[in-house]
Amino acid sequence: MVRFPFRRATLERTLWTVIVWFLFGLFVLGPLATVFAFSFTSSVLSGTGTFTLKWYGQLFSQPGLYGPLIRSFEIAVIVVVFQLMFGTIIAYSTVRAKIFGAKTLDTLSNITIAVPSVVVGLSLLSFYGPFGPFAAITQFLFGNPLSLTWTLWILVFAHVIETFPYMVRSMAAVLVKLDAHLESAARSLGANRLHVFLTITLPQLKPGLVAGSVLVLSRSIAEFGATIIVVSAVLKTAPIAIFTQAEAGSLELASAYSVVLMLVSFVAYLLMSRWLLKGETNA
Amino acid sequence: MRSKAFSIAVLVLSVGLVVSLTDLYKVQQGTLIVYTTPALQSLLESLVVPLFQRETGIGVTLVYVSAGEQYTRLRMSGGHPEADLFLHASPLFLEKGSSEGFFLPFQITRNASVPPNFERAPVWYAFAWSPLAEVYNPALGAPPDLAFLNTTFGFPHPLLSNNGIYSVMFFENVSAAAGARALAHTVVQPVNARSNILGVVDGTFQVTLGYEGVTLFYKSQGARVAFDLPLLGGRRFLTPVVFSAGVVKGHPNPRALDFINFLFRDEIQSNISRFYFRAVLPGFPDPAGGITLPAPGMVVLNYDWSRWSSLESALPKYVVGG
Repeated sequence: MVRFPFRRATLERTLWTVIVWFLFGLFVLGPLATVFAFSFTSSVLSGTGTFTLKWYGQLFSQPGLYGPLIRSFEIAVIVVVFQLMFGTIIAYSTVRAKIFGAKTLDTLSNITIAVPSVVVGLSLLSFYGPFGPFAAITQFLFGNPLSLTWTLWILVFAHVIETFPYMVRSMAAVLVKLDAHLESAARSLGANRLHVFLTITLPQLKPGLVAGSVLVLSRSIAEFGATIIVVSAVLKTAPIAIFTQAEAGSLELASAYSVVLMLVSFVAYLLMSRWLLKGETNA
Repeated sequence: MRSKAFSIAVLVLSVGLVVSLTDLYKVQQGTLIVYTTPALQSLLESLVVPLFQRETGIGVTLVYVSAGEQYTRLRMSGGHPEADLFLHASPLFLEKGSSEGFFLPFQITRNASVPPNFERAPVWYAFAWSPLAEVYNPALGAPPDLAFLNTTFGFPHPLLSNNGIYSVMFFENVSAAAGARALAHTVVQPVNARSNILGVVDGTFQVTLGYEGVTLFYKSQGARVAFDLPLLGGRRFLTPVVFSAGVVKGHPNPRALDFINFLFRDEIQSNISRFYFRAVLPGFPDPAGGITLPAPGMVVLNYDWSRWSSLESALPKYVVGG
């Protein structure tokens, strides 16, 4: 009788491991690794490309090429700051302050996860554009129609709407668990509302603020669907630049962009989460 | 919450916010925006823009979207356009936009030197040109006669790309029947001149009508394609693809016209062939490896762009399934 050196359970585990890693490689790691490889290839089209660093050289030497990377991070920073205020207010209003329509607002705050991002872009362009209600209202109020088309603000609004659920959900999750008795105790001891918020509430919100900021930052840097509808040419972000380069047939340059974006996003993610959470445990 | 890390994070975010807003505003205010085509990418990014920026200190942003899309973008701006200039492979949208009040009349400083078929002052001036070429898979041996086309064709999208506009112009003026035949053999409609040539390179289709300049660009990168002047009914046709410039009405940057004049300088015109296009001003070299002109027996098609509306009305019938 033949004796197998491994038990059946080990064999099954090994087989399962191979299948799962094969599928993960096929759908996730493989495509990402191909982008990585293309970024170091002299010419993908020729099929006989050699190793080169020239695409990275071009990317970091020409302002027109590295500009979109900078734009992406600048816009993401603005969006994070905006969300820290706006997202927190909405989450606080729905979970703690229980304003009228809190449940509806809570449900609606997830709407942009369900709505395609390109629809968000179009709706912003329609609302804030020269032919939309915003222009009509400003015309009525100030005698001059105001249009936000191709401005920085419509782009920021698009990113805020797209990232909105991530901040609200992160904050709401923390707010639900918040111990309200601590605040009541502080108030009963004579602390005013602001003092209670700064010294009792805010410290407990920290995990939500950190998690929400990281998610908003990553999502904003990667945002494409709404951005391509509302973005002005000079404010072109990195995902749009990748799309443009790929469309123009510069697969190698588009790949170099992608690799840089992946690396920088990943490092930002690690730094922000680890550093801040480490700070919290040390505090 | 009084932890050092949190204070630093607040400081970093505050500084980041101020720096970001300042930089983004600066970029928005001081940049010349040019709506153009991917076909001109190398020429503009490697030659024109670096020289212009070095001389004037003005940042230039090039926007590569299809001409139709850019025109729509211009119309959507409601009198507050984002773009200063249009540099495109066909004057159709410049003609149309001019008649609809979206472009300004202008005159370049070297207008007297531009040959008549490369301008329609004061609406547009061409600064470079390239012959429309029949681009095909070298395995076919010779360029197929388009009158008897019997293989897959890539008819560029006429509503999204200037390459499509030139293809329609060619067939409408030479043989609408051959155009219908080409459309019947079309498997994919590329949306710009670059993706059009790439369709032949990657084998999506065997034949297309593209620009000599774009084909030469890809051949220099190792792409395996062949090209010649389009052959139809046994005759070869020279159709100049005119890369033309127009000034957007209400454009935000006051140096827009300087950029156009810059395109006609000797240091630009003399180097255009390095980027596989042909200079419009006489006396400058043609691109290496390009079609030798004049070709024996060729017929020249110089389109009168003032007839743009009749050409535009013919475009939709060349959309597959349209």
